[in-house]
This record gives sequence, C-alpha cells and structure tokens, in this order.
Amino acid sequence: MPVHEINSIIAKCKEGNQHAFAILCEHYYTYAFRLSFRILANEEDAKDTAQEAFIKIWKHISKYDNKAKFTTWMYTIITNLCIDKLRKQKFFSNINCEEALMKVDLNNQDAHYDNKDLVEIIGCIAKALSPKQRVIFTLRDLEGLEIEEIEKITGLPSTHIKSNLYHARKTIREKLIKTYKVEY
Amino acid sequence: MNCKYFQNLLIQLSYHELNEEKIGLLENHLKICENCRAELKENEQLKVFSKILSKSVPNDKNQQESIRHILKEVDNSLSRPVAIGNIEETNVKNNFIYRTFRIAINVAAVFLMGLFVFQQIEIKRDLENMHTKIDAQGIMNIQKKLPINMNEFISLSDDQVEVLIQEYDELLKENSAILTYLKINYPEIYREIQQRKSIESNPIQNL
Repeated sequence: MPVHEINSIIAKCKEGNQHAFAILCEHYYTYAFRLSFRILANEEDAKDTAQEAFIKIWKHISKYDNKAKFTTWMYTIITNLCIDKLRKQKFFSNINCEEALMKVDLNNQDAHYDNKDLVEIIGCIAKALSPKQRVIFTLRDLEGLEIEEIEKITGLPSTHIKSNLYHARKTIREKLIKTYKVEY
Repeated sequence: MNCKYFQNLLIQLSYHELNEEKIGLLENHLKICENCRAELKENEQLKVFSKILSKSVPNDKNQQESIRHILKEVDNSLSRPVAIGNIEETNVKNNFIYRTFRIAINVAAVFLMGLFVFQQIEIKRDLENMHTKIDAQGIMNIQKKLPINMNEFISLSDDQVEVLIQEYDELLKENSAILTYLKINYPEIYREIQQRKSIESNPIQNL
C-alpha cells in the first residue's frame, strides 16, 4: 500500500472512521500476527497479541505522527506487548529440540512449514535466547528489518542491538551444530 | 588481531553487514586460519536456517474472525475518538446511537435537576404560607394569651389554664397551623396543654 494511501487511511482513523480502521486491520493484521507468532512461538498468544495491538492502535492512533513508518510504530506496540507476554509465558517443556530442528531441511530453501512445525522450531531456538535476543533476532533475521529501524522499535542503541544479535546468532548456530552434527 | 575478533566479523559477513575494509581484513585472515574457515561454513548453515524460517510465514487461519473481534472491541470501546464532522455512511448508525444516548442522558439530568429545584421552591412556598398564616392570624394571639415559658405556665391557676385551653381550642379552630407553631416553638407548653386537655376530656381515665 503506498505511503500516501496509508496516511490518508490513518487520518480517517484519527477522525473516528471505523471503516478506515477496518481497512487498516485487513492490511496489517498478517504482519502483526506474523511478528507476534515469531517472538512468542505460540499461536493463541500471537492471535491475542495481534488483536490487543490493534485495539491499542485504535485507542492511541491520535498519538501517531507520520514522522515514523506506520509499521515501525505498530511493531513497537507489538514488541512491547510480546515482551510483557514473554515474562509470563511458560512453554516448550515438552518439545524435543533436536527432533524439531531436524524438520528443517537446510537443502531445501523453498520448503514451507505450517504453524505447528514453526511453533516447535521457533520455540526450540527461542528458549535458548533471552527475551531481548529473541526480539532482536526476530526483527533482524526473520522480519529482515534494518538496524536503524530496530533501534526505533526497541529504543536500544545500535551497539546493544548488534551485540544481542551476535549472541543470539551464536547460540542458534551452536544448536544447529549440535543437531546436524556438522563436521568440517 | 586474534580469532575471537574475526568470529564476530564472520557472522556479519554471512549477513552482508560488513564494510569493504573489514571484508578485506577478514579475507586475509581466512586464508591463514582453518578454524575460522570452518566457522564461516557453520555460519552459512545458520544463514540458510534463518532464511528458511523467514520464508515460512505463519498465518492465522481465523484471520477474518480475529479482525471482526478487533472491530467489535473497537466499537464497544468507550475511549474511541468521536468524529464530530465528516461521518462516513458506515459510521452513521453508530454515531446516531451514541449521540442519541448522550442526548437522553443530558435530558434526564436536566429533568431531575428541574424536579429537584421545583420541589425546593414548593417546600419554600409552603413554609412561607404557613408562617404567613401564623403571623397574620395566630402568633399575636398566642403571644398575648399563652404564657411564654413553662414556669409561668405552671404558676397559672386551674381556672386560668381552663381559659387558656378554651382559647387554645378557639385558636385551633381559626387556624390549624398554630398547632405546628406551638409544637415547634413551645414544645413543653404544647405537651402540657395536650395533657391537661386529655385529663379534662377523659376524667375517669385519670382517676
């Protein structure tokens, strides 16, 4: 959706136009659910978070200025909600990590995995990471955002982000080595 | 520079996050370090893994239902911004209900307020009427004919009291509001008169 079109929809939302908000939901719900799912590794929690995020967006839409991208603002809300949820979340205890990671066929980059598999795979790597590392890894390596954007979303300095990213990647790499028993 | 320094760069190299200067440094190091070359391959696996995960997009199978839920919540939300002007057609119904509700609340509040004020005025008017009647027709008579305190009343002889009671009855016939006036302003005398009056009307009962 072009930026001017988004801005026009947001302007209508600010006037209380629910029809415009419905369009916004239709367009961005997938993004919200995807990010929540990847951070939380839980379908129900992801759904709740995405819904909660949109209700929050509606309530605070007047505070959004067009200086930042709408997705950046939306991701900030979602990330904060996810971090709150992560603190309360108990999960992955019954996941066999090696089995879950073995599902990923590294020779087939076009393979698609359903929600159930993704819960196990992401859950497996996520439990080895701190909430901050999970968020940063998800934003950078799974969502493909630039460091500058992650800075805006998380409010962390780039050095901090890079350091967390390095440790997250290293931890995941070690898990992969252990699983695939790569020998060089 | 040791391997530890290059390990950090290795991951960044896999994700194309290095500038040319650092790439040159790293390439020189890789030529001479077998461990770092092995690590680079491991990093490639990590990159592939991340890429596969990023391509596998989770989706909410009940997306439409979730969106409906959001819109319903938004609709119920009291803190939603209200459009004063420029109401879209889809919004007319909701705004109409909301405005009607607000108007109804305001009308009810005004009505209750009016009722309260009206009652207060009525009460005040009744009191004024009562005092006017008493002032006009009775108070002067009472003050003339009744003793103003209990001591004086007790000191009256029975005949005097009898006269007083008769006068009191006459006054009551003239204006019943005097009874209230007596009751409020001279409670002791009022009680005494009532008591004596009952003794007089029922002498056997008091034997």
